[in-house]
Amino acid sequence: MSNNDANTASLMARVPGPVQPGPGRFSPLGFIAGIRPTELLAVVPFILFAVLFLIAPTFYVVVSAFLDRAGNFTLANIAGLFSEQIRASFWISIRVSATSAILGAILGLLIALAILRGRLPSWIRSTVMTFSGVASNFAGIPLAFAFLATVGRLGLITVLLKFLGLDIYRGGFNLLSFWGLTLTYLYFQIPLMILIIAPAIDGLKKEWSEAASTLGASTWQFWRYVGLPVLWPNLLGTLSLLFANAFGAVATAYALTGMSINMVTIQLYAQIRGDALGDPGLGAALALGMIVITAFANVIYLVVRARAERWLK
Amino acid sequence: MTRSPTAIMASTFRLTLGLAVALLVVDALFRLLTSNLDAIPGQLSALLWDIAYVGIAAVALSILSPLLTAAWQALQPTAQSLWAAPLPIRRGFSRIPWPWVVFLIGAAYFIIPLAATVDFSLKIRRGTYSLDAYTSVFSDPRFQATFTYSLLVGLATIVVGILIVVPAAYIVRLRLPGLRPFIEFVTLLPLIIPAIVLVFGYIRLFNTSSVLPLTGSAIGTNLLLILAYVALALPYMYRAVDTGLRTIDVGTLTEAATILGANQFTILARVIFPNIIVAVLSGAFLSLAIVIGEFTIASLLNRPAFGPYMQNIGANRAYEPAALSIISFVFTWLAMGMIQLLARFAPKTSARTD
Repeated sequence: MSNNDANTASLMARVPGPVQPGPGRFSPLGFIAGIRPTELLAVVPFILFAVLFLIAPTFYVVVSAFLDRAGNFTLANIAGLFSEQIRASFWISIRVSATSAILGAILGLLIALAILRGRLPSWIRSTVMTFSGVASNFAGIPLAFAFLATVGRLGLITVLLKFLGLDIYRGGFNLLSFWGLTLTYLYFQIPLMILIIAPAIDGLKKEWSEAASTLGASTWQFWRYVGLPVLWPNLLGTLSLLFANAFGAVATAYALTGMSINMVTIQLYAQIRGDALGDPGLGAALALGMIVITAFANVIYLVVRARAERWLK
Repeated sequence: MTRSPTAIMASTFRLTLGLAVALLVVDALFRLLTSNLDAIPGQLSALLWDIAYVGIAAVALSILSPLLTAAWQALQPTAQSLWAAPLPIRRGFSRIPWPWVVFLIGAAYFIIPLAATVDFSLKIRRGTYSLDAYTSVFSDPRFQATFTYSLLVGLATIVVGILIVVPAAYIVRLRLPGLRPFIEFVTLLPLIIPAIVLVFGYIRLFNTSSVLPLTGSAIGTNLLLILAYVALALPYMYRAVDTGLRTIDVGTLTEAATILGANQFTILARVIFPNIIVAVLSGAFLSLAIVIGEFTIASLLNRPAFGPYMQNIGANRAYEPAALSIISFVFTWLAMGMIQLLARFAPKTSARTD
């Protein structure tokens, strides 16, 4: 890929373009020797944006987690993370994110396999893919409303089941709980999984399953020894993406539960609004904790992907 | 045919151990993820007991396995005659159309909430179905104001996003392939760093006493909101533009335009951009779908956007939220439908597989 680009680039350098600027070959940065200033100008907005609005804010949050109000180094903010309330809030966020990611990955994989390899009519496939595009973006406030109207205390399903003699709220279900949140999050986690894993499943060559069955492998053996090992890095990668996706979600949980579930994103939201805590250093420490956890999930992914790519070569 | 008892024991032990480990992993995950923090020590001791039970079961099964095998072989003739009956059931089991079952269960999970929401949104009047909730929403001046505001912010996001992403993606593909890892890393950052962390950084970094006091004025805050949304949409925008650039021959087009005397800006605006407009637009509609009902950033920057409005209605009304939910869903569907429609116009020639 980059080889091809490099060829194009070297070819381009030899084109005697009429736009050759006077001073020519101005290059303050060694690694891009031979680049015209106008070309450099094209990446400047992007890099400026990345530095100002992605890297600097993150860096700022990380640094201020270690500073007290006067600007001196302190570990008090980090120590504050280990108070009972905040530990519990991190834990419930991790639980909901991990459960919705694991279940979303498994169910999404099953649905993707069913529509891509289950010999269903082709219109089902295209409909499911389009719907997944919609549903994976149907997160936040409207999603919370939809689930309140479905399995909330006055929701259609709740009322219907009660009519049939099954009171799910008396049976221990609560939309404003761990399982309620997980059920709601699955509505965008499953479609996201389908969207990401579908190309990977399509990448499983037909010849492989044919070769496997020629050698006498059963369907189970094909998936156990060929299909799943090939999909594995993709599965783990998507798992970490789904985890981060759920972990950073604020709006769904906020609209669903208000302050009644103590998720870490809601804690941080309240902290920024100035409703609670009222300690900016602790807010930064909360944000740092969130970055560390999502980064950890993604480092796992990167390591796995690097190993997988080595193997696929 | 007949294996030694120790061989049977060993193979049974391996099999049960594998099964036991798988079972314990699921068990541990389930116990961990369904318990509160203070309940974890209790769950851990329960888990230790589970390990003990499963271990004992595996060992016992292995020790008994030669006996069981012998018993099984002794019963073979009887089993063989009984086999005739159960076999059709087995075949019946595998004849269940699993893809259909999975698809239908999935479809139910995804359709029921929508159906329930539609039903709920129509029930504002006791006893009959009516569209009053929708009329009430559409005639609310705050709905019109916030929706227009979010739509405008969305459009501005798209324009700024295109201006930032397209030139960079073009040059990186053409001349600076060495920058690609850095650019790809940057475009993945918004997926890793939660939006609420970014906005927390913005509020501190661009406050009234900073070098760039964006939060000090309404215009500045609007600008900050737009730039925050550009960050949010960056992964999707970049992916779309890069895919578009991959399907055209950037090098040849640039050479041809250069030979004809076009300068860099003309090449980008009048040669490259028209060629990838379909890809850019699909990125644009995706951005719009993400941005239009966004709550966290808009609410923390105190902007009169559609997301905070919906949250406010949700806290104060009963039936209108359901109507708003359906309206958002239809809007998202329209945006995605536009992408599907655009995909039909995408150039299918000279697709490069690199």
